[in-house]
Amino acid sequence: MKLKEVPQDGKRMLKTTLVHYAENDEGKFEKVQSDGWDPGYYAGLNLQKEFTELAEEAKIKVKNGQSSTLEYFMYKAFLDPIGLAQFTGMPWRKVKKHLTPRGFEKLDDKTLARYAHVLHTDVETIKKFKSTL
Amino acid sequence: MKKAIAQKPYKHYQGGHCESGSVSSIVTNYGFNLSEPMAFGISSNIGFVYLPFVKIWGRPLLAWRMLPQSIVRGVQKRLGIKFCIKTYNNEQEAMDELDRLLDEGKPVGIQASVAYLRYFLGDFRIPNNSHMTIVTGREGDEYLINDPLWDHQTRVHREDLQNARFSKGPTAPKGFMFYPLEFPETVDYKKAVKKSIKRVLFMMLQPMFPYYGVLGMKTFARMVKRLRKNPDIKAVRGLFYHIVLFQEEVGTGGGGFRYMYAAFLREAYDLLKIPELLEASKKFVAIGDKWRLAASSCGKFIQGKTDDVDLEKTAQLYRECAMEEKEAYLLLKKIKWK
Repeated sequence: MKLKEVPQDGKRMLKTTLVHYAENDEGKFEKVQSDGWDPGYYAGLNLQKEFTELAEEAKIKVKNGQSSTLEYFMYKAFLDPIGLAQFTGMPWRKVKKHLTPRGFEKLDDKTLARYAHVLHTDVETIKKFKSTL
Repeated sequence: MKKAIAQKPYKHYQGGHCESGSVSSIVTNYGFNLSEPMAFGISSNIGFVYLPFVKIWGRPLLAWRMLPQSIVRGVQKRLGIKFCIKTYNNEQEAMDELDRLLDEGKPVGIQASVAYLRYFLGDFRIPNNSHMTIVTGREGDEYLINDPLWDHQTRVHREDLQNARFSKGPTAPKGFMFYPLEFPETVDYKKAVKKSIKRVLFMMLQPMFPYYGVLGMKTFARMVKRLRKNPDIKAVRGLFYHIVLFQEEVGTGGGGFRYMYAAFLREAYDLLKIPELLEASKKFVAIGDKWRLAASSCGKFIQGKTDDVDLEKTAQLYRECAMEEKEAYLLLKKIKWK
């Protein structure tokens, strides 16, 4: 990559400029500030969109009583069921149970607090969520 | 050996990659001159892994480098810089130790989860444990962070930092912390560069495991080619933005670290004057351009503007990456070290 070829498309996910290593005319490498690259920016944006859509779908499911509230908060925190099991440190078998409406109703506060910590919310918000819909 | 003494005030250096950036930044501030590409290259961190059976968001694991924490350990091993490296079981103990070091005026490098660092992506809180950053001081309940990816200093609340340091999940940080203790008087760069390059050659040209190195790239290209038979456009698009994200965006310095490795080879040439290193450096720039071209060849498809995409061409580009990289490694293999 030459100095002039460093992408400066103006859109980026991070709230900072990124550094790229580019060759100058003498063949030496310099640090150059890049202002974002379009394919990379849209890749990040699409990932965000995908999880937002999944969360919206889960919201409707929760309203109809087909799914547990945890599913909505899980997608909101950019996790999938396997990720949720890994990041809470709970067995996959239990997480799968808690993601069903019946399993969620039986959850005690202690387990719920463990979920809330990973999902960036608190126990009260998770408990009250269904009644606010 | 001379003792590492922290210089005040902390001079901020921005880098292309979080771990090599923080290692070079912290070591330079303690008084030993180490550039980012040198830290990256000397710990032989370049690589390629494609593991279809390990899933992140239901998609395969892809990485263009070795595991996190390997740069710190690599620099310690190759250059003889003595680091204090610690992990903790007790959260309170870890935070107290950090406070003590900061009050003594020593900046400390830590591993942290991105999801709890509020300044990082705002509401887009990706659960990723393998971020390295530097804490340089504290004011009341807030910690000053000189993140190597950032162009300015930022702040993080104590509670968030504690959560970030003790996040669970894959590559859990467990309070990982490092800072340099002692520096060597002189460094034999020839020996260090030789060892690091030989390690890269051994790993990348291995003929056994089809998910790593040049063989891994070929397997990966085959997977991309097979996707054209996949009728589910949405899933294919998902896979592609996953690839582009991990190749270009996640602090790689562009082109899956290939530009940074080229910079390392160039720096090694300036030190050792071995002509093959210069030639290989030029080749690695071309390889980086090719990775970038392959990623951008489906740019419009990723943006969602079109649905038809020439996957055969993309797969061919990825295959060419593998071939060219093999040539570059074979060139490095020819060097006669005496």
